[in-house]
Amino acid sequence: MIWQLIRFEWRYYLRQPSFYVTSILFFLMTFFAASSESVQIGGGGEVWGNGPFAISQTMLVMSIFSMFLVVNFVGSTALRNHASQMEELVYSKPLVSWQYQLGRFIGAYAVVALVFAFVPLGTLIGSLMPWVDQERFGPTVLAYYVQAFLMFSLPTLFVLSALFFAIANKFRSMMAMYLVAVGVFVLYVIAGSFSREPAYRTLAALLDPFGLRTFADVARYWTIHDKNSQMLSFSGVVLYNRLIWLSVGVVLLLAFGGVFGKLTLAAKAAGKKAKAALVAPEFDLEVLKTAAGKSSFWQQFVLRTGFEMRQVFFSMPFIILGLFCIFNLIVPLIDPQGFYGTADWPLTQTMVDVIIDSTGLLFIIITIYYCAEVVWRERTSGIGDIVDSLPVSNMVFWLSKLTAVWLLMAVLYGVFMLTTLSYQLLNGMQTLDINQYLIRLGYFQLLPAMMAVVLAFVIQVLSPNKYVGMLIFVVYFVTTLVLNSWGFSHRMFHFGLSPDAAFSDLNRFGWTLESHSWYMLYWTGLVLGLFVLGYGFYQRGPAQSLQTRGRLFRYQIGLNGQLVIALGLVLFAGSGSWIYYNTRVLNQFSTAEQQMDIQADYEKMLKKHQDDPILVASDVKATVDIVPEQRLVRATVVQQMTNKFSLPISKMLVHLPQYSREVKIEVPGGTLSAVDPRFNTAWLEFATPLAPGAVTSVVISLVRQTPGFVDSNVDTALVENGTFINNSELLPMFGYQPGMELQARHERSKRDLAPVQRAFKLEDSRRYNESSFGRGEDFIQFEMTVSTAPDQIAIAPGYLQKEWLENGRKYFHYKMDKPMFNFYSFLSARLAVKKELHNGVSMEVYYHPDHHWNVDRMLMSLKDSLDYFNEAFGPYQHQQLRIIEFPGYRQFAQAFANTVPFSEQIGFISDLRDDSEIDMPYYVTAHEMAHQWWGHQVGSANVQGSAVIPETLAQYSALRVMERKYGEVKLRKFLKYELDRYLRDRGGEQVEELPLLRAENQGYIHYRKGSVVMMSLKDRLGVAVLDQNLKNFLQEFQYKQTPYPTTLDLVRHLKTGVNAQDQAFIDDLFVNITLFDLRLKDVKREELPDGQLKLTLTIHAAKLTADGKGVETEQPLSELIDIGVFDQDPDAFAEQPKQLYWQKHLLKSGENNLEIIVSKEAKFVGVDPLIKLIDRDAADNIYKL
Amino acid sequence: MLAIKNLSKTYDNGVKALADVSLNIPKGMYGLLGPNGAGKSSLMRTIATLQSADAGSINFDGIDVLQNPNALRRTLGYLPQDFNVYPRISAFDLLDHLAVLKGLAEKKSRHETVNALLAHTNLFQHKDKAVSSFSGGMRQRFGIAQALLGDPKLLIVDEPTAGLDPEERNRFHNLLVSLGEEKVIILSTHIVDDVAELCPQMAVLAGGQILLQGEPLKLVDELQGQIWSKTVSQAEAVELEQQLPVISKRLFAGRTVLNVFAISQPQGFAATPAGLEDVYFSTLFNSRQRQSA
Repeated sequence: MIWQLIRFEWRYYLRQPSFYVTSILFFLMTFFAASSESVQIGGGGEVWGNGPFAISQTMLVMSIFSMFLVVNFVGSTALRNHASQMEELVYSKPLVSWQYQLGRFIGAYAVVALVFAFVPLGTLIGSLMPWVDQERFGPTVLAYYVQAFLMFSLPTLFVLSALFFAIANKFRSMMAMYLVAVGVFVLYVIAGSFSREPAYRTLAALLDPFGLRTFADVARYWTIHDKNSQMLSFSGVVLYNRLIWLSVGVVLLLAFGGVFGKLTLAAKAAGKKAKAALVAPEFDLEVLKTAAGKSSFWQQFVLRTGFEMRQVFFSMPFIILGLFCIFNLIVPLIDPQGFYGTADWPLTQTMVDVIIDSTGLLFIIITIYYCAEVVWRERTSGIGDIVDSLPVSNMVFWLSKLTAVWLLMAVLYGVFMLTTLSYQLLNGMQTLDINQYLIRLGYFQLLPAMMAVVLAFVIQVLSPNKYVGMLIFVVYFVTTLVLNSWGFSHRMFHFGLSPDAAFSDLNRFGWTLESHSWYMLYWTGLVLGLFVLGYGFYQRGPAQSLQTRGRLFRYQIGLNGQLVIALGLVLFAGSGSWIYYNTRVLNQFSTAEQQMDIQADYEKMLKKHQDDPILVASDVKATVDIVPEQRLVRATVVQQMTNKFSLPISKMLVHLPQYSREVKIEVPGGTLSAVDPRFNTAWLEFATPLAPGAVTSVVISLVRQTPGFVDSNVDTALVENGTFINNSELLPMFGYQPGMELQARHERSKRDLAPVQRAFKLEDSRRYNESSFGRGEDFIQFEMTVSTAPDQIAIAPGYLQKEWLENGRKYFHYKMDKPMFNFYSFLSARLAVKKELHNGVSMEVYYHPDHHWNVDRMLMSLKDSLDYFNEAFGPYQHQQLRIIEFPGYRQFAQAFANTVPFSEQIGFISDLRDDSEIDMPYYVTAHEMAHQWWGHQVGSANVQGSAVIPETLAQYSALRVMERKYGEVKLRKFLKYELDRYLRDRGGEQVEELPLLRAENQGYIHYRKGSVVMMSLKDRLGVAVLDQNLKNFLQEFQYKQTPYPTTLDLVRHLKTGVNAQDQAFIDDLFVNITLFDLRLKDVKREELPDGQLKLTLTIHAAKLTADGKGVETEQPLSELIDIGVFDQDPDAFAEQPKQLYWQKHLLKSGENNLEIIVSKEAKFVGVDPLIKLIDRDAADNIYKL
Repeated sequence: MLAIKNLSKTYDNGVKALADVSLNIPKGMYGLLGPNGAGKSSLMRTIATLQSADAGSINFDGIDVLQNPNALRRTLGYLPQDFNVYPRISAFDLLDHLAVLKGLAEKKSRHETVNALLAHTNLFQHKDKAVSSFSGGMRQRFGIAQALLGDPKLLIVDEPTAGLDPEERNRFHNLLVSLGEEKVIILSTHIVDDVAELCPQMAVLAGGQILLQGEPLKLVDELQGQIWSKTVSQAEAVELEQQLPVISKRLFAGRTVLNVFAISQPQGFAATPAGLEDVYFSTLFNSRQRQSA
């Protein structure tokens, strides 16, 4: 009996299209995740796509989606009798209730499990595809798939199946199930934020029905090596979690699955109370003879459009999806996560991004699912024969259905826009940028979405049924995701797409309107054709074959239709040619793959010239004319250059700058050879070689401008309002450029290149005389005359000598009074300025007038920094420091001599009304200010660790300024971010993690780890010793080029006057990759008679060293480590938590037990609570009493 | 008024639905009789512009239906055999919606027409309920109401009385007759009594072909004196069927009544007055004979 029921379910579903559609969907998702690099679920970086970690992770993530699978299959099993009105037939048969229910349940569960088996299958087959990069995959081990499937997927699917089977039996409504599914999802996301708290972590691991957090808990400490080889053991939280949920599933099934008890009919929904019966008035027969006139096209169109919209709007799934999207919209509004967790002001540009993100899923669903529903509505509902025989032209149906979906999308954007507008008003934004909303949402987002709707409609019309149509669209959609990796990244191949539309408050839409409009015209042409095609094939009446409809096609579309197709083709071809001409003829286009090929060939052919002697500038006089409205720069740079190498120069490799033309290089006795268009390089050849030490003048003149428009790789440095170009972007570069080399290991090996050498060995003393900026960068005398539009300010390093108007243009002449690094830039924008004089230094902030919020904080930071650095490291070398805002297309701040360009995205717009946020503008300003010492007074040699000297020391200096202003406790939050990012990014390392001493321009090491290391050192040595050592280091190498310092010099200074133990500690930090593993596992609390508390702490402690791949070796630990007790959460520093207890205790490897006595306000206890050590999980250091 | 010439249609799966059908249908009610699968619905759908034909033509009152479907749709009322409706829409709203599409543009008179139709189909008291929640008979009445919208000149009703109780059926017949004078009404059915009661003209369709057309009265007259009947047991019936041209077999009080079509009186059979049912069954019988011959 049971067996037959199971087989019945099984056979039933194998005949349903939904079975095939969902199977293929699940398969494709993981297939593409595994086989293409553009879709990522698990893995990434050095973690193998088919290793045990990636497989488990993929299956766990997909199991969240499986909820909808379960609702669909198990739900429809449970409801099928009810829905198809078979109940009376079935329940009158002599069935045994439990056999019947259980049989159906098992059958449906088996089907769900089968569909879900396509997830590992997709990964497996995807990983075996010939085009995948073998480096990203390890050996195929079937056990990984089987284990994850048995351990995670099957139990999870069982619990979900039991849950939804029970709900279906209880409520007999599909809707109830979808509501519960969405509810579970939302709760799950919300619960996620709690589970990050270490106190709840084990609980979360036990209570996660999907097992995702269980896995995260177990695999938290896994290194890359572990992730690629370690099978999960079925014990501990994993075992308990699975047992808990299996029992929950059994209980749900037995208690609510209708297994016991009788099979009963669902109670018919009790009708609403009968209203007083309507009395039918008498109607004369003549009334019936009211003859039909002719409804206008417009009347029918409006009626149908409204009708279609209501049909979608008031359908339950749509309401649920809508709520889901609103949830998605509101979460980032309530809890905005900006830079280092600091929220930004709710700028319209951010709001628009939030809307786009939160509606993305909904729009995809509308395009796939609702388009199908709308197109097939008459057929599905069964009224097709009636409606289709009415005197309504096909155009009314076709256009009204399309319009309905279009309007639906527009209304959604409207609602979301009103939501964010209200949010902006409530949050004190005084200017609302309605135009930006309309243009970005309407023109940049909605229009392409509407085009996608036309495409989906046409696909549906040409498909034999809606499931096939949806499937075709999904396949199309997934194809677009991988099209890039097949060499079709030009957006002319991507239906509805246009070049990225970056937005900046300074530069507004910039170039994007022009290029977007051309692409839209191009796609409109195609869409016109599609529109007519769909109209011509629009199906009326019962299904007729495409051939039958095809015969009538020309008749259907008529002359007008043919004209529209012709017009569409003309538009498509015309604008397409124009786009082609602009993006591929006027400008160069290459795919990422081609670009990498070029890089590889460049390295192969030219690397041998790496050590050729080149000319190095010692004096620069530049004349730059910026024409902002034409995005044009004309530059002439006169340089005095020296052959500072020991060999004569007979020819020199020249890299011509991007985006530039008419580049001329005039050198006495030198001629420029023809340009190699592939590398954009040429040779500067000297008839008589330039002897070592020879000085010559080099005059470079060029015009920089992008002709027409481009598809990608926009010149975002040269824009109408907010130009910011530095010398290496502007000028030809001399000599081989290691920066051109490919980095990613697997991309290199694909092209037969050995792993990259990112830096020269630390001990390679031949490089000590080369600056880390490059071999050709030394100290120069600098002078620049820059002109721009009269309403803009142009700025370059140096002091303003003169400012004048000439020919309706504004001129500025800047000159630096002392040598500076050959590293300069110029900017031009319409900016407001605020200046303050502090200790003889003019502090100036140039900002976009709308971004005025944090200008005072920046000035404050400049002053605080100046005071501290002057005292700690030595005097500031200039009499001025300027911060200049530039558009957020690039997100960084960069320190040039007395000049700091500062992106709009990283501080100007931070919303610091909440004191608990990290003061980002203050920190970034201090960091850039510190570069005036670390970087501009002291350089670094071109070897490993070169970025550590400027960046790690600037981090330290900035943190000290922060600490002086905000206190040690507030730094904890910042350091927590730093440590977290270090730990996270080392898992994504592409080549090899190196110790700080040897970091090879690895940001996560020289910034993130550097911050923690330096603060750790400060704690150990004390500020006085550390600052004195740093000052000595600075004095030894100030303005010194022969040699530049290395990290060896830095460590030598750090160790000066320090005892042996601390020297060993310094080695741990700099020379090794050292990690601590401190966990406050348990705290026992006992009240003492005197009202105080005795706390017994159980602490796990370990010290580990790791190699470059993350293989860890335990080292003996015996270290004095902070134990702190607080009356408040140390993260909530707005509440100003008090340190009730603060002392170092000696901790040794393994379990440590400590007893401490504290006052009874104690709420939080922490081991190394202020993050002075590199702890591989800082979150479990704090324990809440 | 409605002239169908040489209409043929073969479906993509090879089923020949219509084979060279020619009919001339005057004003008034026209009965189209045929067993299930005879091609009635295909013919109806083709006339109702929902389906194309492979060959042939349909002309209604000067409108070339296959070439200019929208012109016909303006004067067409169509009740398909099977239909369902959009979910969650009340009877009034749905009928009103269809009325606008039909061409009843002016709101006030349209509302009056809609209410009147609901009243005449006995649905007025349910007009605010969703049609999708109606029982089968109510839904059928709704179908009738929508077919009558806009006073169509051509009314095609496919199995209209299926699922109606006898009272509703009579009511519908009366409505049709009172509205039917100036219209062409094609009534497709397999219930002979419907045709007998209503139609001055009729045709029999089977296997995609017209087997017979004419006035029911005349057709019955032609058959008079050739129908013989006998009441027998079930076992006898089986035996007799093999010997005689038995056109129909029905039960009366548990015994089988056989009708035989023959020029001369078979032994043991009594003469019985011919009815339209005998016309229908003898036609089908003859057709079967011809096919097997």
